[in-house]
Amino acid sequence: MKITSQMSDTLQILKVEEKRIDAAAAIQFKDKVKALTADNMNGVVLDLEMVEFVDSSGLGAIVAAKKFLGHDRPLHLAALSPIVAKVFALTRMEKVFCIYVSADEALAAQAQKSA
Amino acid sequence: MPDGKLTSAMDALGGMTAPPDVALTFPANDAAVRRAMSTIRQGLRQHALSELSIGTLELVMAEACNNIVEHAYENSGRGVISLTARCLSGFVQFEISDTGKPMPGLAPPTKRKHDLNAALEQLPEGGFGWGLIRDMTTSLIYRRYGGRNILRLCVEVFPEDYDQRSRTGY
Repeated sequence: MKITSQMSDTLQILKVEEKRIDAAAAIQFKDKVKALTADNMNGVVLDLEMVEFVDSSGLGAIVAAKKFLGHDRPLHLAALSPIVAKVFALTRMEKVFCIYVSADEALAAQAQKSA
Repeated sequence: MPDGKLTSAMDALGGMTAPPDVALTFPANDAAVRRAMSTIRQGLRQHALSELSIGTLELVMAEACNNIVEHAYENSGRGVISLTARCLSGFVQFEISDTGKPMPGLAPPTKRKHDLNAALEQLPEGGFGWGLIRDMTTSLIYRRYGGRNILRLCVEVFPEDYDQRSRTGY
């Protein structure tokens, strides 16, 4: 599971450089996000631009990540493919996350909030 | 169980007589399910389905197979899953079978209702699978027959230029 991290002033961008977050990858995903976010206090944007497929196990892992980041560090999502967006819509999990068209858009929204 | 008897019982469930586009049997574990999904994608390629249709098919199959790994075979790492897929006009029909434990109450679970207004700590991390399967299938039949779980699912599909024509959300 390859996830790269990039820090802005206000947000940490985690880019998932994999095609799938599925049952075979869910545990690795959780562990990786936990390790990458351990040393800072910023909110997190999960950039899913390269992800083509998320199943219910992957969805559960993303929710778990939101939970361990806690109230003070929101987890936002960016760049959902049509089928990934459909999973979030059908499970109504889209209501639980702020979802942005791209990571840049998430950064812009955050900059506006802080201005 | 004589094969002939099983075959005629299957025909009575819906008459799947055309040869399948995909027929495969694979071990019931997460890695093998992932590989099977990729094989099925290849097998359905000639039908030029939309990317969203292929994603929907893959999701339905993956959820059904993940449930078999986790519940029918109880994550034992043993057992196999057999899957066939047929592309019909406007639909893909799957049959997925295993020899694991029967479904509780001999019926597939319903869509679970989650409280998404719950506190962060209470948000659900699982229990989405059957809701997704039910939302994305036009028909769903489950039978326990001769020690096998047999699940027949039908998913509506669209040609590959359809996503562009109707892109309003999904």
